[in-house]
Amino acid sequence: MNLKLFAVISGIAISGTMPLVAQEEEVPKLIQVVYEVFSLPEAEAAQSQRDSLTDREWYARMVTGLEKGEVKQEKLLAIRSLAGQKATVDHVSEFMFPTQFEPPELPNQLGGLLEQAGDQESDDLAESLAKAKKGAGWHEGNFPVTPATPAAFVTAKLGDSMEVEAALGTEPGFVSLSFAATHLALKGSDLWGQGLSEANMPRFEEQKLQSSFTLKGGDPSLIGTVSPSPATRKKDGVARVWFAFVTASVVEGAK
Amino acid sequence: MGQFDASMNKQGICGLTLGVSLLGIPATISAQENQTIPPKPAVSMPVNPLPVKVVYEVFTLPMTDAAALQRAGITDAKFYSRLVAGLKENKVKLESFLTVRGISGQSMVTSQAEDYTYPLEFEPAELPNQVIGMGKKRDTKGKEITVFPVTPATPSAYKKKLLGETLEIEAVVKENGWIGLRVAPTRTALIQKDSYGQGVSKVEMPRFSTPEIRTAVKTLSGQAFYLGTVSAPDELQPEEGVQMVSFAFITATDLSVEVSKTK
Repeated sequence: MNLKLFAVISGIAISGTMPLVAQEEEVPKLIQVVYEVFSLPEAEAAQSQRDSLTDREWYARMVTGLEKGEVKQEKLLAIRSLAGQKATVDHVSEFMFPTQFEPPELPNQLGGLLEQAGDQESDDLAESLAKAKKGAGWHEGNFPVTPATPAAFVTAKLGDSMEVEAALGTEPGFVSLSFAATHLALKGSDLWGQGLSEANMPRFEEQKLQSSFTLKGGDPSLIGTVSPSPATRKKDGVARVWFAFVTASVVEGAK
Repeated sequence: MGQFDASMNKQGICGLTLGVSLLGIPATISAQENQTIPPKPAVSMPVNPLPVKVVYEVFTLPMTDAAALQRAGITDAKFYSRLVAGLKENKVKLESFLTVRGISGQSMVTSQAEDYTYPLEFEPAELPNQVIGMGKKRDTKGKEITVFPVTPATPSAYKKKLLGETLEIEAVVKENGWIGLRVAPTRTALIQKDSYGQGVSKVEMPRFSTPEIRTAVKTLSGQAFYLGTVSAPDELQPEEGVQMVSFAFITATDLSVEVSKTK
């Protein structure tokens, strides 16, 4: 009797949950993440900061500023993924540069170099070698030595990269986000060593935001500043502040 | 399928027994051993393969127009139709168009690319162990210089890179018209070569543009779905004026449904 009752209750419970499960299957949880960066002159940025605006008002001011030409949109990156899945978007170039150099090399043994200067034998040799100097395997210089040779390389991603892992928040209408956005630019190179040991190493500028937060779905949120480095700002002459906004929203199934 | 295999096995045993008896060997040997012929290896193809078609498109337009479209909050269908309308007005450029057809659950790759091989490692320049009696001459400025034998830096290990467009995709047909997708489109281009070292040790390394997306999504069959942005890096953006933004769309279609519709 008890068993029968249990079977009936179980049946009701299972049949009750089935449509819910099926419903969840029907509408997959897709999340869209849009990353935007706007820049405006430092004075105006500071003034806006003092106005204690909400994120929504900040964003609206940026968009209005775009129309008036006071604000510049620096970046727009977007990606969609299933909730709980990691996704990446890259607007980059792969730049390879050396991280190790083999040092310059000399012959183990040298003979008849400076001593033979001016000798008839040396002059003859010089003449014969001069004919062959443009051939492969001959080199002109002050001394037989090889320069430092780049031996090991690494790859840097120049440009914009974004990595997101989004999930539905615990509160309805909210999205939890693990987020990392990077902009890497080649700014020049620095010279190290001297003479044949000289090696150029690249100098990069990195603007990065890495954080985890919960956002209201569909509302733009100001997540930080990603302004260029002080050296670049000084070079450009005009100091501008770059504001980064993220808009995470749940994509409606049949959209 | 199982019955078919079983009958084949039986026929195989009969054939083997007959052949052995014809050779004069007692037929009882095979009967005594009672060995079964191993079943045929299973083929990895699904029993009822569901055909799928995937179309990947990239549209490029100025940043201002792109940001306004992104902010409009319109459906993917409207988003797509606006881009197509922009193509006709020459405000939008179709950057990529790739399509591939396959079976649900199987990975698919389409590539419109060339194989580019470039050096990853270099052996340093080398001199003889022993140098005796080098030649001397004067350079154009009258300075005395030495001529000596040397080998330049030598590329010693290479790597391959696909230059062009590649789409790697896995589509799984789900219920109610949904299709699960794992997508990895890449567009690779050689931008320039960067030089390192000096003299005989000077080497060049290529710089590639590689905008790409790696994501997993679910789409409705036959509907254009907005994946995200795949814009070109700074080196390939216009030097002056507005930057360009590239929007990627994917359209996956369950062809088994399309076929049944046409029937």
